[in-house]
Amino acid sequence: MTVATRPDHVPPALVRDFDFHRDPQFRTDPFRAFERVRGDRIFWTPADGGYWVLTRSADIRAVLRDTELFSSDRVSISATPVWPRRMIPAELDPPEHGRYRRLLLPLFSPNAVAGMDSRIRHECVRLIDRFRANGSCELLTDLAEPLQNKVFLDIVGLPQDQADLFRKWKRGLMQAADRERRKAAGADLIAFFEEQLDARETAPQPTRRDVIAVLLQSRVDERPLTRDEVLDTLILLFMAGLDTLVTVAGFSFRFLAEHPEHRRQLAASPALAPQAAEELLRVHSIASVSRTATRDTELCGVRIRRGDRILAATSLANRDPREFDAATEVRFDRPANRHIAYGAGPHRCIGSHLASRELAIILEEFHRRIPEYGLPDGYRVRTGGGALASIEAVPLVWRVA
Amino acid sequence: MTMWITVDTSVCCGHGRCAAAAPDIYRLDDNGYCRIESLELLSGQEDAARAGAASCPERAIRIADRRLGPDPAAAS
Repeated sequence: MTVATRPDHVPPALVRDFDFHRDPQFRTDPFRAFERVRGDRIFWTPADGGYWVLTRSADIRAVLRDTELFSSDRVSISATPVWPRRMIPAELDPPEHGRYRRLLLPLFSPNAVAGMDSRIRHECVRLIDRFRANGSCELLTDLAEPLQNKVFLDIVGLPQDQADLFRKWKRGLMQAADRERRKAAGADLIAFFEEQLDARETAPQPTRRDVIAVLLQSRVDERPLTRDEVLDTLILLFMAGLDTLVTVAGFSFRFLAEHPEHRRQLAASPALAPQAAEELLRVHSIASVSRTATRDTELCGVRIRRGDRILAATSLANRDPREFDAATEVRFDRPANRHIAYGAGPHRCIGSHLASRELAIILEEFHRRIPEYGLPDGYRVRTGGGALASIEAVPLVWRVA
Repeated sequence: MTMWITVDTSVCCGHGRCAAAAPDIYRLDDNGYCRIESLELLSGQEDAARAGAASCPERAIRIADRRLGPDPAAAS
């Protein structure tokens, strides 16, 4: 890690010891760990080359919305990017950003997602029925991950029989501290995408529109997308779409396993699931993105220099007591839950409707079948910080009649 | 009393939370963005309209007793 020396424009009083990638507190509860800095409105940390941290919802939303002053050219604070080029469309700024994003929007709209409901539900129930009689499961590998793999491969237009390989590459890319292993996983994944694209370019297109079909058939600036542009988009969807829902499901079930009164609410009224999903997303907001100042400016009364990096942690926005009553409490009946777990502004997560529905389906179908459960005695769930908070395993046990 | 909703569509980012709260009022386009710019509410729709407006993460929706013009402050 590169620790920066404080630049002249950063007042010493605003420097804090903060590192959401490596602070051990993030290994048990990343969201609580973020709350440590709640007392400051804005501060600067020398970690990872130095960056500013905002803590209030209104400030975070303002930065995410002002794409002219705060560029998305590098969305992750970490100095070791997994991908050598800019990911499309996350790392493009408007108006270029919109030209690519627009292509994908119809595939992920609330209407499109409503059309996938029964297929997702069917698969979810099939997976639950496989472990229900065992009296135990590991929420991530037995349910959330296989479900999300299927949904992801389906919407992107990749063969379902590759799910195991995908898991291996995902682990290698996103969880390996080892740079060589990450590189190898990245190369394998790209080779796989290339192979699939070659096959699709020559084969007749499927009747159902999927991401690959859209990318191969669309035009941007009156020309087809280049192979690199297609890959830069697929990589982004892979990074943003494959693990995020699995992680949020993991955090949600850890919470429910430890909070019987919330669990019973869901078991008693499964129709509560969509609202419960939004509230669980609010308190388990895993994404912390970065923006870069495009010119000298002022932010929250502080001088910011062109090129300064700013961390917008959705967890800090969504647990801000200025924004939400009893912000750290989980209330399934919370009115007007305008959380930004999916970000805000033009870069709002394109998969938000899909993810919310999947989480609601998992909550509903699981609690219909397994209303009472818990973590094994003495088990401690391990988590991680970083651009996308992570959770390792969520083993659950219940009594079988 | 007649009530109006006004949606600043330049601020809408397609969260779709308005439509989730009040699907009959906040209609979305094929991309999932709110396509209502201003709409006179029917009697009895007020509570649902308010719930939809209050759930917008971008603060793009305003409710008033008259049709509102563009609000330059809404984007700030």
